[in-house]
Amino acid sequence: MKAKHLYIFERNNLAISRRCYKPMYVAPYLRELKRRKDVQLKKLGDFSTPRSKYIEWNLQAEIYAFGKRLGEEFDQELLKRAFTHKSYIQQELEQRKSLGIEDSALALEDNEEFIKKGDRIVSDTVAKYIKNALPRASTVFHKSLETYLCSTATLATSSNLIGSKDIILSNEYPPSEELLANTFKAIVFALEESSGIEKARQFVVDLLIVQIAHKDIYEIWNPKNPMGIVCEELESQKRALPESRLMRQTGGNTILGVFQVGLYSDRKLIGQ
Amino acid sequence: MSSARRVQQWATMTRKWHLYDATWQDPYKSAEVIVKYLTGRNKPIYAASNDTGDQVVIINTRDIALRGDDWKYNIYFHHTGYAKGASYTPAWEMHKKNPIYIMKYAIYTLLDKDLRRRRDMARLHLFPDSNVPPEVMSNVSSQIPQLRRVPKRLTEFSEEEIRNYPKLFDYPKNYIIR
Repeated sequence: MKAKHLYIFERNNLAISRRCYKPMYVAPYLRELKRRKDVQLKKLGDFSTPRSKYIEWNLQAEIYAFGKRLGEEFDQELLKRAFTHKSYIQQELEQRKSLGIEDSALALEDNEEFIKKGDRIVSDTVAKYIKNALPRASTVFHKSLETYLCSTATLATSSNLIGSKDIILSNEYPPSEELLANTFKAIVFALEESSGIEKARQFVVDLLIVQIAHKDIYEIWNPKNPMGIVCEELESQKRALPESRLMRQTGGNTILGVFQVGLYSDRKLIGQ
Repeated sequence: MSSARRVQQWATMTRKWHLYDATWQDPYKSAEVIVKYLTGRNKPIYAASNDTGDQVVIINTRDIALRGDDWKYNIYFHHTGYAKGASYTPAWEMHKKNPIYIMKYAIYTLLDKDLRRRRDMARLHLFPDSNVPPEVMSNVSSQIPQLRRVPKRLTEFSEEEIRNYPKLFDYPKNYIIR
């Protein structure tokens, strides 16, 4: 943690550097905090408690707020079921057994079925949306986007960002990516049952598909033979095969030389 | 970084080679433009701590033009550091000895007097005429436009051009010019 920060502002070709001063006690105080935290971590290991273990946790209120925050109409029971995982029910049963309550008739159902049906809705919506949005792209490209969007990591990110991490009922904390992804699918199905398929589809579009908006496409789709793909596309469109030509260059004799190459099909520039 | 972003990054951060023809140009005014290219202030990615400057090749420095009587009255002072070591050289004599010096010094004095000056000067390549080594010329990719138009001298017009030049009036054919 730096005690002083250097800010440089450029205005009208004048570089003005300013310094931010902190009181003398800040650095030693933060150092002591870190030392104590390190001691605690070494002794007890890395642990974190879920929000539900702290006081003033009202699950019903949280689930109601969750639905309202997203601007959707959820059936409360279905949404609660969507958050309940099998591991949680098993944990509860074991706890009851250990306490001696053998009559284990828990009024809780798990979300296994919700996950399966939600998965179908998610993959279906994603596939249709991509096909609609990029009709001229190849199926390989569509498939790569679909795999990326329906992957556990992407679903987990969406799930995290809508705040399901604290509400999930499971035996593990913090919830794994798979758990978060499954919860997302279950929520989608719960929404479909509560408000209809259209609302569920819109939910997937607004919260999952929107993740590719800021992504660099070549990080998702990196084909091994790009020239081959280009040739195939041009052939299918009955256009001439591509030729590459040097468009511009600078510093050709130096280590930092730049050569700009253009791809031409029948003397028309198709890429560079 | 994906391949597309890598290409974009390389193209943005590249160091370009510019050519400037100093024929009939004022070295001091030209220096103002050239300094911008050397320091990298012609680019939106400029930052004082970053090295964004370009390379500039100046040709025909022998043909620069100074204003008025500057060739006679502009004096370059130098002291060797030893006693009686002062020397005062007028611009015409300096130019005769070293046809690159006036242009180079104009740029050198205009750059910021900091540690970046020597680095930026290293990226300046001056030649008294248009004989540039091929290894330097092959790097050049752009030209900095001249500040003033080079006029066409009467001796540079061909006889046909003079004959066909539009005239308002002319001497009668049997008129003898004394």
